[in-house]
Amino acid sequence: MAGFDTASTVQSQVPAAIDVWGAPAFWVRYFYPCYFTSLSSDAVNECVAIWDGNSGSPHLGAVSTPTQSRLDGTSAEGQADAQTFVSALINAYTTVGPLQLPTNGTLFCWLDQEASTSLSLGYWNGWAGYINGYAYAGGHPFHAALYCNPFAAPPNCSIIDSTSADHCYAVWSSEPLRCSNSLSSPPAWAAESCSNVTTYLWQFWDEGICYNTNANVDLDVGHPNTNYSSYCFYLSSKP
Amino acid sequence: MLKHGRTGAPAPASKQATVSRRTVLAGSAGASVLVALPDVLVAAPARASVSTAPNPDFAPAPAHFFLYGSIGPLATPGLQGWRPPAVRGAAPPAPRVVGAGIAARPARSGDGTTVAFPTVSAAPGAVSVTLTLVDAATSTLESTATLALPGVPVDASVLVRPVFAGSATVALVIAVTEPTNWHTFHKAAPDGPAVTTPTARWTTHHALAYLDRASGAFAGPFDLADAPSLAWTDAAADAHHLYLWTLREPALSVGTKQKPLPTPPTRLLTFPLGSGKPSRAARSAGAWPNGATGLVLATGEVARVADGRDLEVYSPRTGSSSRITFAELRLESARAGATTVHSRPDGTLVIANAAFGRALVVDPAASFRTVTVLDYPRPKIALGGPDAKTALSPDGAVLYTLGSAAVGGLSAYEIATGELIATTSDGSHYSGVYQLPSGTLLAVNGNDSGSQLGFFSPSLARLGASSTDMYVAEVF
Repeated sequence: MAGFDTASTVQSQVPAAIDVWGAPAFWVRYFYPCYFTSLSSDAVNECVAIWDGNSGSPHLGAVSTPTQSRLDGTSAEGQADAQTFVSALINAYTTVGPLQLPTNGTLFCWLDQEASTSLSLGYWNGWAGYINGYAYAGGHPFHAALYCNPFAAPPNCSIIDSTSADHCYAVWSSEPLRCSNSLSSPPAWAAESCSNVTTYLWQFWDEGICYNTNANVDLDVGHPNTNYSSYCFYLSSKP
Repeated sequence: MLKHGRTGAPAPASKQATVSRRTVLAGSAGASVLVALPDVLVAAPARASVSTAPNPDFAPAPAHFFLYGSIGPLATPGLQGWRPPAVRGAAPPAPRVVGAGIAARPARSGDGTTVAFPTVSAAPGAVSVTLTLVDAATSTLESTATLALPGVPVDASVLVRPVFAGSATVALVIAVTEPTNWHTFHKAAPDGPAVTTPTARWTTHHALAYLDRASGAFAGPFDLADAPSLAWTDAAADAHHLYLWTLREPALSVGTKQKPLPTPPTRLLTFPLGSGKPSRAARSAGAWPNGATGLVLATGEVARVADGRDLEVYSPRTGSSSRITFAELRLESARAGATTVHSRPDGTLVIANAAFGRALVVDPAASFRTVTVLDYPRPKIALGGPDAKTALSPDGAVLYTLGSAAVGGLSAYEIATGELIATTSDGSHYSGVYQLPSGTLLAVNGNDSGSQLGFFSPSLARLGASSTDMYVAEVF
């Protein structure tokens, strides 16, 4: 169960990424707030590209990248970033007719914390509290989750592992890299993790570090005892 | 004519590292510095020649800079006033705490003389915002002023952003997000027991206020009555107007899955300073607001970054917003990094993105024509930490970048030619670089217990180093 994440658009990476790596089981794309083009700014065409790339597993994971220096900030800043993220998710969901919430009611909503970024408890609680408590579509489908380098120096695991922290449902680990592996031959599970939160997703191949291909995607593999795609949006038909 | 270090695909690293002039200056132990840059450059005119010998006795001016961040992950953000080392090799003078419990990132006035930061006090029936102004030369208190927010409940989330408007006014953009219907529910977890989770329905509206710096009095707050909105706005101001990008909250505006409605557009509102009523409203050509501060250009236009590659430019004269795209930034990347914009004294702009390893000089007075493309190796820390991955010399002639992923340190490029004119590295990989008012360059990076600080002269001679228990988010 391996797939791609990219800050580029899916449209610009299909078919190049598939030509290089093969068809992904999922795409993880950026939603507002983010540094580059948000999926929700062209949600229909992005979802068409996901379908065209692999109609057998048309899954869409969701990550947001707020201004990184803000992650050290206040609860109000975290809540504002979460509010934007939820709006971007709902905007895409309502815009793309066949885009569906996960059938298990759990959409992992990743907060991107890069390795040199410091996360504060106030920011996390503002962000995760809003995500976890948001009522939508008859339930509470949004689940706060953290992309991080668990062993990086600035605080990350120490925040989400804290008993004072709003619940973090999953970690997406950026370490270690396994540059000799590929999408069709992912590494044996060895993702780094925090103490109290399960690592569900592992970014084992970094385009900028491992190798420069024609495809601007990173490679990710889900925890072997889980099915990461089941925590993603999915397309019930071609948009 | 377009001048460029390179266009199109990135050049091989070996070519990027080519240095035209090699004068080795001893820095700190282990550092090698390739220098063609004078330490008196800070006083040189725009586009000055950079071929004279370095001044090893560079002495920074005794001006302060301010570190913003948290001391420990459980603390609220604070502000520390620092000065660079007075002489090479000396420790910087002891910093002083300027503010604690800060509600949002500070702002520095356009002339650099004042730093402003907000704090929020919340007691039942008495929620208020205090704006503190600090004299940047002395790091001492200039003034404080408090603004009551009547009717705001104590459990509201209050997000405050100060925006300097000319030399006389500081505007406050206040997002008030109020909860209703608090209750708890049990949220299923995929790998454990259900989690008792508090929830409320949150609704945001905005208010504006204006501090008259001469009298120390606020005008406002003026309720914009714009609920439900996104809390984040983008803002810019000149001596007459506040420009505010706002967006009606899409989650509550796009209808249902069965009956979807169009995404609301981002709006750009123009407020005369002192007013809560917009004199003009326009549809923005840019992206959703994100808490950014825009630039007022020499042309009188107002600009902000859109989607990391474009500029949205608003003309107060015509009332129209347009989006400027740059072919040189139509690059794809698996990982996204911040795009920053520096203003040069001649009115041109430097647009830089470390994730691309590229900087452009564009000329707003010539329809944003690209004047120069400058490429540099991507640094190791192109994505995390501060957005400040490049710094511009005061005369606009030199762009400082984080050093390459292989070497680290800092690099300096002559913008006019794209030439690498100085580098320094002792193996440290920094996450941010700042041009300080003293003329010194500051490089920062996080470590296990806070942040390390490196001080450099304009020629990248190492002046000293220090550390702080603060996780530095940004420097002002």
